[in-house]
Parts: sequence; C-alpha cells; structure tokens
Amino acid sequence: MIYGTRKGTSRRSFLRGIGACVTLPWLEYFVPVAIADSVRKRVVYCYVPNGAQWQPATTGSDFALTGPLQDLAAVKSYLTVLSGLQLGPAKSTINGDHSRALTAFLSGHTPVFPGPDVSTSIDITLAQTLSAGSRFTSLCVAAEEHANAESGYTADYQSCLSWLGGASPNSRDVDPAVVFDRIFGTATATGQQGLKQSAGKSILDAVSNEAQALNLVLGGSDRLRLQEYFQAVRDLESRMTVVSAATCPSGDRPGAGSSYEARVKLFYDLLYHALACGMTNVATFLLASESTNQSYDFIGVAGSHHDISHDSSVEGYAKIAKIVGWHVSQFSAFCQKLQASPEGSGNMLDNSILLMGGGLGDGARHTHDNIPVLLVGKGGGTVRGGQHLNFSGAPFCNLHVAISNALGVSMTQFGDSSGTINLA
Amino acid sequence: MLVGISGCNSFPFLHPGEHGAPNGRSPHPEVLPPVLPVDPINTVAIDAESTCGVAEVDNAPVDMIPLTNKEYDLTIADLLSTAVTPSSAFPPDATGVGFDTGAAHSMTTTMAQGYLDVSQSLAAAYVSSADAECLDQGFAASCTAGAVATFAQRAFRRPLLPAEQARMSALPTLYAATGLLVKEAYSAALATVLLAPQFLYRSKLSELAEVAHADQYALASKLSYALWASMPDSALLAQAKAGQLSRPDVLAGEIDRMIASPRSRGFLRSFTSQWLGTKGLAQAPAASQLDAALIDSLNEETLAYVGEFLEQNLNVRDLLDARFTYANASLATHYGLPAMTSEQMTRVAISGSQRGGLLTQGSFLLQTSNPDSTSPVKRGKWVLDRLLCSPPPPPPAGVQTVLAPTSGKALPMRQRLAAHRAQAACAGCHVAMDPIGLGLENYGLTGQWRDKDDYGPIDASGTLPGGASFGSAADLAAVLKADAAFPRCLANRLATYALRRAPTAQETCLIEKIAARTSEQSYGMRNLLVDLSRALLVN
Repeated sequence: MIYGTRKGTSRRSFLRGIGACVTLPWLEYFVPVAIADSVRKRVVYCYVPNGAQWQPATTGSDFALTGPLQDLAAVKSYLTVLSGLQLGPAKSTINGDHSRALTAFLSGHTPVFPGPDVSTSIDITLAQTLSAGSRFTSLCVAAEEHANAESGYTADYQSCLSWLGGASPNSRDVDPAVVFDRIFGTATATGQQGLKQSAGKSILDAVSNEAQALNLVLGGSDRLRLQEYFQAVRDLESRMTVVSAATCPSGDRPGAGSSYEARVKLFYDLLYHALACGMTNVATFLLASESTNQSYDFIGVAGSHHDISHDSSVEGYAKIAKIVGWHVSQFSAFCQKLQASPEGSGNMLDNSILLMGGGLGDGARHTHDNIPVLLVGKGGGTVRGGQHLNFSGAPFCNLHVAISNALGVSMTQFGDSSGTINLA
Repeated sequence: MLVGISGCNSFPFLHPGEHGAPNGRSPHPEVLPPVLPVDPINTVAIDAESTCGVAEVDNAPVDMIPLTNKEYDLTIADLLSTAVTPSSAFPPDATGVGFDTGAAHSMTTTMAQGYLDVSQSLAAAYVSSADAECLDQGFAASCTAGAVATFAQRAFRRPLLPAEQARMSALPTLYAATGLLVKEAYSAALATVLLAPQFLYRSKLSELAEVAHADQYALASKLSYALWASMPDSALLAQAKAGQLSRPDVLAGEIDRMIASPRSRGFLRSFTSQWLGTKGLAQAPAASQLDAALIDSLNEETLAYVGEFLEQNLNVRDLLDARFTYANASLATHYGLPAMTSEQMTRVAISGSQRGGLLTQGSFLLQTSNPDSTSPVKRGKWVLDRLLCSPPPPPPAGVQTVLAPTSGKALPMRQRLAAHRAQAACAGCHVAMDPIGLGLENYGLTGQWRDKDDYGPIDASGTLPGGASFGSAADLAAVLKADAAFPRCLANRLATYALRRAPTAQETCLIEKIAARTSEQSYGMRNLLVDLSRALLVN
C-alpha cells in the first residue's frame, strides 16, 4: 500500500535515487538509550564568528591566562591552547572569507562556489562511532537562525557549522524549547493537543510519501531542495516519537522568545544535560552566524558585531576582545559543569574534548592564519591539558586527526592535514 | 599602494551631458501624464540586431524553488480567500542577490515545524468555518475525498498526476482509520496538502509526469510569482491548460494583464521594500527616535510613492524628484508639509524645494543614520549601491574606520569627513560617497529638514568625481537623475528579483537596451516592467 510502513529500505533507495548524501542515520534509526556501563567519550565543537585573538604570551605549561581567556582559570589544568594553526581551505583570492572560514572549519575543505557543496564535517564522521547506541547521533544547535549570503556564496555557508556532505548541511536547531522537547520529550499530550500531535505524525508520514513520489517525476538532475525537505520532515517526525526520558534530569522548559544572551546560556545547559544522560556524545554549537550583526549591548558592546570586527582601532579590538571574552566565559561555565559531574573514577571532563574556536584570526583583515583554537578536557586520558602549544603554520586539520585518534577513532588524514598533533 | 581598490575606480555617474534626463533637467510633472495604453501585442524585438547573443542555457542548480515568506502569505490568502499572514510565525527569510527571492536557504526542522503548525491551524479554521465544503454532508468521505483532491489541484497550481489524485482522495479515509473523527480527518487531509512539497515549492515536472502541458503550468507560476508574488489565477491556468501560454502574443497579453492587475501590488511591495531597504526600517539604528506608527508611515510613503509610478506608468527617472508624495497627519507634521487631518496615507502635491523624490523620504534618511547622528557615508553608500548598482567595497584591511576623535574638540561633519581625502586608501571610494551624503545634510537623522546643525548653517554643496557640481539636495537629485546608471540599475534590480538570480551576460545586455528606453519621457515604469518581463520571463 502507498501508506505502508516506512522502512529503511525505501528510504535508502530514495536517497540513492537523489544521489548526493547517504549518511543520515539518525533521521530514522534512533536506538533506545542504552546507558553504557563503560565510560563514553564525547566531543563538542563551539564556533565563534568574526574572528578572535587570544594567544598567550608563552608556551608550555607555564602560561598566563590573559585577555579573553581569563575566565578559564577554573579549568586550566584541562585546557590546551593551540596557536599558529592555519585554516588553509578558507584561503582564496576571491571574496567570501566568512563563508569559507565557517564551512572549512569542520569540513577541512574549501566549499564549492556558490554552493551548497562541501564534504562531510569531522563531527559527523566521529559521530558514527562515538554515538553508536545513543539516541541522537549528534546535536547541532545555533544561537542564531539565518545569515545572509556573502559574495555570491549560499547563505548556508555562513550559518551551518556541521555538514552531512554534498549539498546538505546538518539540520540545526535554533530554538532552545525545541531542543528541550527533543531531549526530554514533551509531557504526555492529552485532549486537543494529543489529537493535533497524532494527526501531525500522520501528516508527516503522508508528505514524506509525497516527497518520494515527486522525486520520480521531477525534471532536471539536481534535487537538493527535495532532499532537504525530506530530511527536515523525517527529523520532525522522529522528534514526535515520545520516548521515555525519565532517567534524564532536566531543568525547566525554556520559554519562547528568549534573548540572544539567554539562548546561548540555555543551549549550553541543554547540551550539558544531553551529554550527561547519554542522549548523544557529539554536538556542535554555532554561537552566531558568520558575519553576524548580533549586538552585545548586554555586556556594554552595542552595535553590529561584524561592523565592530572591521574597526581596526585599538578600541575596536578591545570591543572584540570583550565579546570573545564573554563567549569564553560562557564556554568555561559549560566546562565546569562537566567537571563537577562525577563519572567513573573522575568526572565528565576527563572523558570529553570540548573545542572552542573560529575560522578567522584577525577579523578586520580576514586572516585564516593563527586561528583561535582551544580544547578543554582530557579525552579519556589521551590529552595532557594545562599547556599552550604553538605551531608555525601547521594545518588546523592536523588537530582533527589528533582529536579523532584521542577519542579512539583511528584516522590518518582529514581535509588538508599533513600529519597529527601530539596532545599527550 | 592601495589606490586601486576594485570597484571604486570608475563610478557610473557624472559624465555631464552624456545621458540627458528626459525633457531636460527638471520635468517636475505637476500634472500626471496620462496612462499610456500598452500595446497588447507589442512584440517589437528588444534586440532586433541580435547583438546580445543567444540566451544561455539556464544552469540554475535548483529545480525546486521554495516560496518566500511573503509569497507563502499571499498564496495562502488567494487559496483560502482569507487575509492572514501566517509567515510571521516563521524564521525570517534569508536574502541572496539582494532579495528574498534569490535566497538559497535550506529547509530546517524549525521551518518544517512552523509549516506543520500553520497548516494544521489553517485547515482547522477552514473546516470549522461556515463555508467549509462538505459541511452539509457531515464531512462524509464520499464528499471530502473529492474536495481534498480539488483543493490539492489548486494548491499545486497544476492538474494532479493520476497517482496524486488517488493518494489525495484517499487521505480522509486513511486518517479516519487512525482514530480521527471525520471532520478532523478532513482537516488533517487539507493540512497535508499545505505541507506537501508540491505546495511549498515550485518545480518543473519531467516528461515522466503524466500531465499535459506541464511546462506551461510551470511558466504560469513563474510569471505569477514574479509579477504578483502569489499563485496563478484561473485565467493564467486556463491558458496553460490550453497549451497556449507560451505563444508570444498570448504571453505578451497575459503579462500586460498581470501588471495592470491590482495583484501586482504584492510584487511591488515585496520588491520595493527590499530594493530600497525599507523592509527592516523598524530595526534601523536610529529607529528608536520615532514611534512605531510614524516609522510605518515612512515605509508606506515610499511603497505608495513607487506604487504610483507603476500604476500611473510614470517615467522612473522622476522617482528622484517627483512633485508629489504620500503622507498623513503625523508625517506631514514630521516633514513640515501643510497640515493634514487624517492618519490615512493620501497623495499630496509638493511645493518648494525641501521635499520631492526618494532622497528626501524618511524611509531612506532614517535607515542610513547612526543612533544619534546622520551618516553622510552611509547615505552616499546607499545611493551608490541601491540606486546606481555600484556598491563601494568594504574598507581595505587595516584601515582605521572610526573618524570620531577620541579626545579634543569635535569637528563639524564636513571637516571630519575630509580625513578620508587625506588617505589614498580611503579617497578612492569616499570621493564619491561623501559628497552625496553631505549634499543631504539638510535632512536630520530621522529625515526632518534642518537649516543648521550643531556647528552652524548646513553647506549642502559639493562636486562629484565626474566634475558635476551641485548646491543643494535638489540639485544633487537632478544630477543623479541625468545619469543613465539610475534607470539601468533599477531595471537590473527588477530583473534580478523576477529571475531570482543575477542576470546572465546576455540578459544584462537586454536589460541595458530596455533601460535605455527610459530616455523617452512617455516610457513609464509599466512599460519598463512589461518589456523586462517579455524579454526575460518567457521560458
């Protein structure tokens, strides 16, 4: 029958039909939460747009936390600052440095103009192994919804950190309330609400069928819009499937229309809870779109973040440092929560790698040399922590290789990597 | 060493005498010219000598075109005959090539959730209304099956494929089998149509689809979304059904009819608010200076003003200095126009030299101001970018862009901006931006007229890179109006909006030939839009 059950086979054949992307396991196959007895390893990538500069003055273990890094003091023994890494795939003679900075950061490749078209990002690659058996293969959140297109590139390049490969950005969440419902499940719906929800599932089922049928009669060769549509619908459907999340302690459900400041904090909280109760072991967090015009008036830095990033006066750089410092401080609070959560013989931070960074060094000059990168966490004892390493122009992708191996996923090459980095 | 900044070496304007404004410098039409009937079968070859080359194959990578939020709202309004703006619940549109129609943003789960919620609400409201079909039959499946299929055919803007017909008809029964009551099942079936990809996207069906004249239906939607920002009406669909729409005389007649229709307001508002940047006026840095109602009036003024050019077929060059505008009591007070009594926006004739034309309208003046001061640089940039299609590039790397002295006595605007000329890296672009902005200094940050600022009387004179001098904002408008770059830019923006992408080289050549026709005063905005549509939207 037309409206028969949706089995993986039909979906896979659909995806084969449309060609571009075949690695979308979590849309369909969520597996009941299996709280593993063995200690899991986790990785989180947090991206700061518009450039950041925080290089400590000295290398080794005796380095001072200056400028934007000050608020990391509480987790310094877990901190690895990496300076002098370059994001080669973001470099080009044409405009569009913000788009390439974000897209190359985790994909390790230069995105195709005008796009969307770029290879699979490292978080997705690692999620296949790290999140096996978790409910969500990965969580992908952003504190800002859209970006505008830059220099002819697709707007996706300024708003998507995680890429499934080809034309498909990972579906991202921008509403903390939606993520809350997704992680903790909504209260059992009753009455009208329950009716709407059960009808909603039927409707999603039917439109998925329509998408498959339409695929067969579309003209032309490129059907990426339909693929996106299909993914979004299936993702929505999987969220509606109520699962018991009784083992997950949660806070209050976030309200609607929260401020940017509140959203950043809420997302860190939600990521913490999702990691703590084993919903996933991989997450990405885009703190704001590249070229964002977000105002930080709540910390006394009013005006467009992007405009400020092109103010190359002493005052301009001071404002950027203040914005970056605020983000580092929120990140630090997130790290401290993991540190305060016992796990095995230590705490969650011992078994995690939390990366914060960005694809632009000096935002005013759009540089991709010496990009800002730091890690917090010991990756299950594979990362020493408490040191500042300086590399003179080594590919940033060497760090992707190093993190991958540190988390137990064997890898020799990623993106433009020329080797690896010794984090131990 | 930084003098050769790309983009600022050759400004398009100011080659005095090269392209005279229609009928000399100041036509200032006090009396509207009559609406010229557009020749319904004017298929005069725009490129008779074929110097533009042949049309390039449309290599657009995307076959499926999502509806913008505005298009979604207008389509829903047409489909359900109800005035609603459900897209206010959606994330804002992205923009590409300057317009939401050109954005290639992707469907996210957040958006899918929004579409689902809205679809269910709209469908529920419809089945609960007194005009709901099948109400008199108790929503029996025997009635709703056909009603859903008919609704889907309208929503998909083409006949259903046989398999679609079967699936749509089966929905009410299918949903009833899951435990929904018949009314709820009908509602869910209608919601399914509104969430279906065939509704949310426009697409070209291949020859595999068993639909006669599939290409004609695609053309009908292409035309209607370009010129109405909404779905095709029954007349367009009838031409498509007959396989006649692409016939040159039929197509020309339909384009004329569509542009003459009141529904073209949907297009005009969507286009104008993005072309002139009024869409986000309430979020402008200086917007907190005015109350929301007045900001709304400023926005409406510009939309109604440009709207009159289309409706009355006025020459687009006169946009820069026409002797009328639209105002209400609050706006008249704000501008210092003769007092008005009603808050209804009304057409008013303008006398004197303080007002008249786009550059004197608050929607432009407010959006380019800083929170507490005017910004001649932003105003100059806006003119170069939006009116002349010559956006200056961002400041070169490593240049100090903040002119305000950090200590000592503040200087008058003109003296502060003089610093730009002192640095070669800045002068290349600011030599054009700054004089334009300084020429508009008689307008304060919210657009109110002022004779002096904190430093003394305003000197609005200036000289542009091509050598043209002016003594006032009105003079400046006349200089800009005389430049062929303005109508060429407007034609390019119209074409880009309708094509939903940047024009190809061949299309640009056609656009320029069409824009050149605006040198005849009688060639109005409707002529311009008709010719552009005929040249560019035909296949």
